[in-house]
Amino acid sequence: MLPNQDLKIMLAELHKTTPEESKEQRSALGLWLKSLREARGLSQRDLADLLSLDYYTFISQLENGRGKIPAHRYVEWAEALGQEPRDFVKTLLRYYEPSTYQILFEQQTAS
Amino acid sequence: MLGELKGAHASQDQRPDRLSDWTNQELADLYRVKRLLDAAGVPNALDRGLTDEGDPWMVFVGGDGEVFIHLCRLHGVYVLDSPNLKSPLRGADFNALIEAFTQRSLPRSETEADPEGRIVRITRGGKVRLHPSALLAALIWTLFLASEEIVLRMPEAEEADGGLADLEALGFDGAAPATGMPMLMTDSPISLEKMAERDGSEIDPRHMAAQEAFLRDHGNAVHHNSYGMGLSTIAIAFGFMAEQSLTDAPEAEANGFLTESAAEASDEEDESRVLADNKAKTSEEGAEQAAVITEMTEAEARSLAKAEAAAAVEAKETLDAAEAVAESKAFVGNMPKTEKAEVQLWVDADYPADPPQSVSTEAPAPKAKATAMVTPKAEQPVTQVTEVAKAETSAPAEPAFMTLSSLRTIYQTTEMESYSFGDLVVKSSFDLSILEEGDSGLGMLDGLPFLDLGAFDQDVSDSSASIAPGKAMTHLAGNEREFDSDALAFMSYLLGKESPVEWIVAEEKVIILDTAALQPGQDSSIMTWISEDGSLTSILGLQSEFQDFGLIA
Repeated sequence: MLPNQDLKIMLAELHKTTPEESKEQRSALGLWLKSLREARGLSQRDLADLLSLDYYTFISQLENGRGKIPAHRYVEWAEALGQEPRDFVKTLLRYYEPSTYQILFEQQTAS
Repeated sequence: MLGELKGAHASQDQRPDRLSDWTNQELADLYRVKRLLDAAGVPNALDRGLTDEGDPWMVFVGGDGEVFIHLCRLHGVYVLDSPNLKSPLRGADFNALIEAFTQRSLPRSETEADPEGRIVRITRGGKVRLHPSALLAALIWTLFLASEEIVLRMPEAEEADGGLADLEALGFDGAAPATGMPMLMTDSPISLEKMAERDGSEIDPRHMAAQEAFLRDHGNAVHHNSYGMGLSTIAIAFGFMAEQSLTDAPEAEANGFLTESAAEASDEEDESRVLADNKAKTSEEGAEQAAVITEMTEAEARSLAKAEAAAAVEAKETLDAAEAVAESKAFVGNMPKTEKAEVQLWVDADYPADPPQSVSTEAPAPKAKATAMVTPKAEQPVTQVTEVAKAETSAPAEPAFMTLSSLRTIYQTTEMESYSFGDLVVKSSFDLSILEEGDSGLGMLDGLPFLDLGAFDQDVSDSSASIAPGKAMTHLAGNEREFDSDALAFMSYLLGKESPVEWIVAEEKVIILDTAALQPGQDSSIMTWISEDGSLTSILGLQSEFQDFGLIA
């Protein structure tokens, strides 16, 4: 159990994402997803078909920084985009949950 | 940031292709939905885009930044999806989407859902028609209430107490009145088991439990917002919201709840504009806001006559439906309850009965014949069907924003300060004194003819209280356009943008300022439209957005 003082410092240093920052991060992630898709030579519809999506406009939505990939489908998305699942999910976490990512991967490194 | 979607600046995939993008009518309808949700207190933002094949999509984003509605059009078919739907809804138009959801939501049998015969249903093909936007807004309102956000705040349990904690999550900050109805508190838990048995709908019973618990605990706060009340009423009447959320409360029955809300609202001079005939403050407002909708083609008249001549049960249901809606009507007015009240709803005029069946490569004709509107005088809110039928042959209806009074329904909810310039009173949502200061983006407003306050003084001194359109026109630069569907779509978009708008209002003139256009370095444009009644509306906005809407080259 961390001493109260250390806990307070940790909490104070946690970066609380504002809605604007969250939107920017989603947009950046969207660009990244688009680059992965295009690198595979897939159209938005092709990718949607690979993932058996009901409507391919969801791909466009994600690539424009709106919405999230459902967590239960991370691996499928990684495979469809030709990515190693662990690294793919780590990147998603970095953008979807920056505070959690910081705790897991950055503070640990710093310490 | 690259790729960030900004309203009309659609997807990073491509600029909006006017041939396959949402039509102006669709945009107007969808932004109307947004406004209804805004009025109901649902924090939401709109984003839209085009796929790499040119198919349009639009999302409603909640206050938490997450998408709670995805709507797209694929090969002329609308697809609507939400996290709370097991599968997307599909339909050729908005009505079909509603129908698809209603079919999923209806209980296995009417008797099972309503053993006491108290649920009222507004059936299709009946006397009442609702604007597709209103129906879609009610559907989205229902899905929003069932959103996972609420479920996550529910205590973990098979049975949920009525105790949803965070009203703020839905952005109702300050919406609940200081005084008002007692909360519909009850200690009886909501049994998920019973809900699963009762409800064969698509929605997870936990979501329904969350919804009911939320409505039970915060129903007053939610529904005292008249728009929320209106949307809930529509949803209940059309069968895609659980009526029990209002009727199981020990202190109130549904009708009593509505009536009591009506009394409270009328005391506070609430100005509901979604459902119900308002206690109009002016006859002009009443004419704009109170309208009876019927679409009595010959075929429908015959089938209606058949339905009315049918079993007594059918007749009773019709009366019950009318009574229930009449209660809603009385919600914001001192309207006497009538046994046969026609539903009066605020509906925009000049729209086709259904959204376009196919993508049109041209903007819809601004004068397209629509569901005819009758705008009874405020003192005669109840209109008989026959009168409506006659009135259908009258002059074509006008777009909702064509007159200043209908625009008032928007800016009246904005806090504005009054400034006196002699006998002239100008209202503004910002400090007008900054116009006199040196370097300000607002300096370009000086170019607007009717901001020449000297001209105002001249008009006012030469005429009676209202500025005669003829005189006003003498001060115009001659660049004003006739208000049309393109203007309506642009205005709807502007009012739905995330960047706030400011207002300047004086007599028959309204200026809308897009604050995004006032930022340094932005290319701005001003455009003025004149309505048939002579009122003037000017918009100062981003030049690029004027171009996106085809208003300037």
